[in-house]
Amino acid sequence: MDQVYPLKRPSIWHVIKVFMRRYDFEIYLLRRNPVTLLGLGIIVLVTLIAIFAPILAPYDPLALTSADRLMGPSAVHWMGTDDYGRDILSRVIYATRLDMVIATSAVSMAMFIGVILGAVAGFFGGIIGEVIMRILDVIQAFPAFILAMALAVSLGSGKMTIIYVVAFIMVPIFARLMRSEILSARGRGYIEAAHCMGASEMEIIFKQLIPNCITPILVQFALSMSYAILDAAALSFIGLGIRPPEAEWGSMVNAGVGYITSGQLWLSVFPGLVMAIAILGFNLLADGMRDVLDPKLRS
Amino acid sequence: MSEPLLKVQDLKIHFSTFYGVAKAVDGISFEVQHGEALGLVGESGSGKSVTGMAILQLIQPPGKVVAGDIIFAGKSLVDYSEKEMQNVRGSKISMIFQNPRTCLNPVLTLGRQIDRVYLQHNNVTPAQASEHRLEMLSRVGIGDPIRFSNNYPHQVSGGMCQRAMIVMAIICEPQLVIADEPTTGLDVTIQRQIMELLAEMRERMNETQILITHDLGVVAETCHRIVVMYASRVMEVSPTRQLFNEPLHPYTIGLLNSIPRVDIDEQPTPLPGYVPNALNRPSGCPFHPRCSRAQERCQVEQPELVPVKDGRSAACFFVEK
Repeated sequence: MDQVYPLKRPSIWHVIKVFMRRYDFEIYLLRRNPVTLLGLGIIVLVTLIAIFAPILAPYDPLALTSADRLMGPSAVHWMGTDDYGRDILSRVIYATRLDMVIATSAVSMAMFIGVILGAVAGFFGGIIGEVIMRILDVIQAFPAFILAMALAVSLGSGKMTIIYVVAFIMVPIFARLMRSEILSARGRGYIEAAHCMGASEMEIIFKQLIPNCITPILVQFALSMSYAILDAAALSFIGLGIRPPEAEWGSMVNAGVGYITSGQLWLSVFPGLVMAIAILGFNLLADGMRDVLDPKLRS
Repeated sequence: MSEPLLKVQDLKIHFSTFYGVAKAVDGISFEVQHGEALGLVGESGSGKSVTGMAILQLIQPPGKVVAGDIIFAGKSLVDYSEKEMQNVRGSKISMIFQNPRTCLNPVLTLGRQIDRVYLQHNNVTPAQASEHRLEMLSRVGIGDPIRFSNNYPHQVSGGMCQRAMIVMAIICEPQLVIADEPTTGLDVTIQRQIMELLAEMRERMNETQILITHDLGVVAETCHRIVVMYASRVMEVSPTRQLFNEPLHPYTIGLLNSIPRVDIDEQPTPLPGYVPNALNRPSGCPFHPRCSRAQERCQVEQPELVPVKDGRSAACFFVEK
């Protein structure tokens, strides 16, 4: 007779190990790209700061304290205070929130519109496709930032303006990418099979083609996030975006510019540094995502 | 004889290309009876797959149906609008493709792909659709339908992919299933299983099948009648047994002689020459440059497909009536 082995109760480590094994390959890929992990870490941190801004900020970002004007970094004000006596750390934290909201909304909007336009242009081709692509060419023919400035001036300042403007100049990037993906995917067997099963054109575009072509779009999303942050900050820096009392990276840098020569560097340096780190994070992640999602690029 | 389920009448499909007009299908006619399995055989480029796509009205530009009619269950499919055809495809006429791997969407689970077809043509809830799917999957011999449904196409074998394709094709219980080389790219043992499955489904669900293939062995076992195509035209139509025992058309004879056999100690004799280019078909009978019986008449006059005997027909001047 066979010996009966009593079943051992799995230890918590075993459970964790089994769970980890499900994502074995993804973890392996991330391990091989430690910089990607760093990028992901930065983005998670920045996002958490944005979400918990009211809890994390030690002071009110708009509270004026004229007695504390232009104080250097200290234990009380870690990043110092600005020319109105406002705490720069608190302002940077709130600026993170605002800039992340702007960048995420702008890029999401651009992706949504760009993907649909690109998919329609790629699938139908012909006159519809030509018209869509030529209009997008016109947008791309302008230097992106000049166009953004012109639009921001005509739309007036404010958060929504920046979102619309940044989204507008990014639509062509997503549309072109999507179109080229669709063009290569629409001749594949499963699309023909879907036709034969009686699927309508809309169903084929949205349920069969787009899910198959979304990978490079996701990489582009991460990459575009850094451009969106930069564009939003640049618009505010030249005074076209967020109005001064509100905290925004670009306008904060601008506010500190006048004090750089007199040695009060902290006004501009800290918001600029945080912005640079956030952009670095998105770039690293985009790079790593491309490696993970596109097996062809793996060496 | 009752009204046939599908009637293809003098169908002509032309592809206008840069180099000229390619006559992919040049005036073919055949009928498919209810509950019948019809084999459509021919070499590569003889127009069999195009015929299959034409039945579903899915000829993409630059191809065009220039003449002829396709009558399905008494109605002409050529007159249908795109919207009406979408309701026919998948629910009344469906198609099984060769190479199931590329014909399944790689980013959707097999279960979702199957459900999508069923939901499209039937007014049911997703829960009912998945119940129906599980039942159909176990019918085609899948042991663990729930697990199978959650798999992506790359996670299962080629034979299993083809089973999923078959379920997709028959889930709405269509009257006519067109199988376009359903066993190409599969192991011989799996080929047999798939062919048996198709035959079983035909009997159990009372469907009619058109089997498009270049493999005479496959049609020999499963089909009732065989249509032999060559260079965009039908050469011979015969019940299977008679076709193999006593082929009428010289092309069919040549085709059968070029199959290697193990039971007789004789080398197969291949047909001389090549299939003519679709852009430049020979005049007269398209087969005359390769035919051993060809005479002057064959070079100028095109033989019509005429009934010969016992419900057989052939397109050759020298077949005795």
